[in-house]
Amino acid sequence: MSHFDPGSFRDPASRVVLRNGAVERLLTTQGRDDWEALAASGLLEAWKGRLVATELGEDLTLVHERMPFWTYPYEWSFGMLKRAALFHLELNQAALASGLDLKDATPYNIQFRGREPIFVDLGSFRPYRPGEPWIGYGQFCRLFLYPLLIQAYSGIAFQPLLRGDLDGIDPETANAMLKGQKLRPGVALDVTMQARAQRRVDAERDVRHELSSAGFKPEMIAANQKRLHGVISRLEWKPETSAWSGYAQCDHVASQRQAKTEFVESVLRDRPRSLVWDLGANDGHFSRLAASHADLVLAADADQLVIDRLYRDLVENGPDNILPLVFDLSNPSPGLGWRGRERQRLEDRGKPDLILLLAVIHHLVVAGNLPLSEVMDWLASLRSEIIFEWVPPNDPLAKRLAINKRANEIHGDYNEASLRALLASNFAVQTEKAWEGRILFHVLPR
Amino acid sequence: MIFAYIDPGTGSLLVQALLGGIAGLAVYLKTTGRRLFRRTPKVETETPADI
Repeated sequence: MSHFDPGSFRDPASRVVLRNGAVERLLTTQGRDDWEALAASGLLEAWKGRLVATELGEDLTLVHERMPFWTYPYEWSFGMLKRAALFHLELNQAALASGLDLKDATPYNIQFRGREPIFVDLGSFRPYRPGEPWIGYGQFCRLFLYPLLIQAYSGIAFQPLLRGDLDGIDPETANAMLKGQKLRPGVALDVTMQARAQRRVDAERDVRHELSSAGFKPEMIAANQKRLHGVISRLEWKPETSAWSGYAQCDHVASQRQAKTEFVESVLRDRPRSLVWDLGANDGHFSRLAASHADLVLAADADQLVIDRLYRDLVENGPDNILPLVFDLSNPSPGLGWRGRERQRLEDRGKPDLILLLAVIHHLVVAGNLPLSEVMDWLASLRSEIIFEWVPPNDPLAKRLAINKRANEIHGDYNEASLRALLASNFAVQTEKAWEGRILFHVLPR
Repeated sequence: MIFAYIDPGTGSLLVQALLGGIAGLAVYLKTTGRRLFRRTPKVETETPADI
C-alpha cells in the first residue's frame, strides 16, 4: 500500500510517499541534482544524527528514517520553538559554508526526536546560486522569529497564532502586536521595516533579480543569520507561575503520588511499550516512570509553562525519549491546511500502546463539560491499553472545579455507576485500586 | 513528511537589501520609489500684504 503524504506537495522537485510504513521521497531530475550536491557537500556526515537518516533508493527515490512521532510547532513550548529556530539558523549557516542553500525556512521541516530537533526535509537543500538573497528569510520571520518575539516581548502565546495560520504571523500583524517594543532587539528591522517595505514595494519589480545584479553576496546572508541567532539566543519567556505550574507541590499531589507511582510502575514493569501517551503530564513525573519502560513517551499538557519547564529539564537532565507537547485534550489539534490534511490530528499520527490519564477526567467532564460517555467513547476509539484515574464528583478538587457551576450544569453521567457501565462495554478491567474516594484502573480494549 | 515551499515575501528581500550595504540600499530605494533626499516643494508664504 502506498500513497502520497498529504502534507507533501508544494515542492515541485520532490514529494514524499508512504509505502508500507516506509517513508520515501520521489525526486525529479532537478531533485536528484540537488540531492547529489548535498551528498557531495559533506553536510550529511557532519550533521549525522541531526538530519533525518536517509539512503538513496532505486529510481530517483530517497528512503528516509521514520520519525517516531510527528508534532507541529503549534504544539511546542517556547523553549522548543526557540531551539528549533537556532537549530535552523545553524544548519543554514553550515549549508551556506558548503555552497548549499535551503529553499525554505519553516519549523514544519523540523521534528523533535524526544528533546532533540531533527531536520527532516532533505529536499530543501540545493546549490547556492551566486547573487541570491536568503529566500527563506521572510518565512523564517513569520514562523520562527515573530512568534518568539511576540511571546518574549508581549507575553502573547504563539501556539494559537501558529495553529490559526499555517503560514505564520505576517509582518503587519507582528508589528501591531509588538507596538511599544520597537527598541528591543529584532523589532525595528525585522518587523517594522519589513512591514513597511512590504507595503511600499513596487509590485512590478523583480527584487530578487535586482539584488542579484547589485552584487548580493552569501556573506550578507551569513551575517544576517548570525545577527538573528544572537537576537533569538537572548529571548526569554519565564513567567513565574501559571494555572498548573505549582501542581507537584500541592499537598494532595504529594500524598497521592506514592500510591499512584506503585500502581503505574506495576503495569509498566509488565512488558516494554513502544509509544506511551501521558495526557495531563504536568511536571512529567509519570512520563519519566514510563520512559524507562518505553521507546517514546509523549508528555502532553495544556499548560505551556509546565511543558516548557519539562522541556528545559529534559534538555538538562534527560531522558532523551520523552517528547513534551502543549496539547489541550478538550481543544485538540485539528486537521489543517489544504483539504484539512496537511497537518493531522493527534490520533492520526500514530496510536499509543498505553495511555496514562491520571487526574484528568474531572477537568474534561467538569471544566470542559464533556459527557463522561463522550470521553470513554473517545478513549475506546484509540484501541489502547489505559491507566485511568477516576476522580469522583465529591472529590475536593472536582468540587473546586465545579464551584461556579450549578449541579444541573454538569452532565448527569458523571458518577461511578455510569463509569463502570461504560468501562464494561468498552474495556476489560485488569486491576483497580481505590483510595480516598479515587480509583485507579488498568484496562485493556475489548 | 512536511514540506513548505515558499514564495519569498518581497518585504523580506528589501530588508536584506538594506542589510546589504550601499548597493543594497540603492536597490531598496529604486524598488520602493523612494529618494534619500527629496526636494521639498517650495510653498509660497503668504504675507499680510496679500490678504
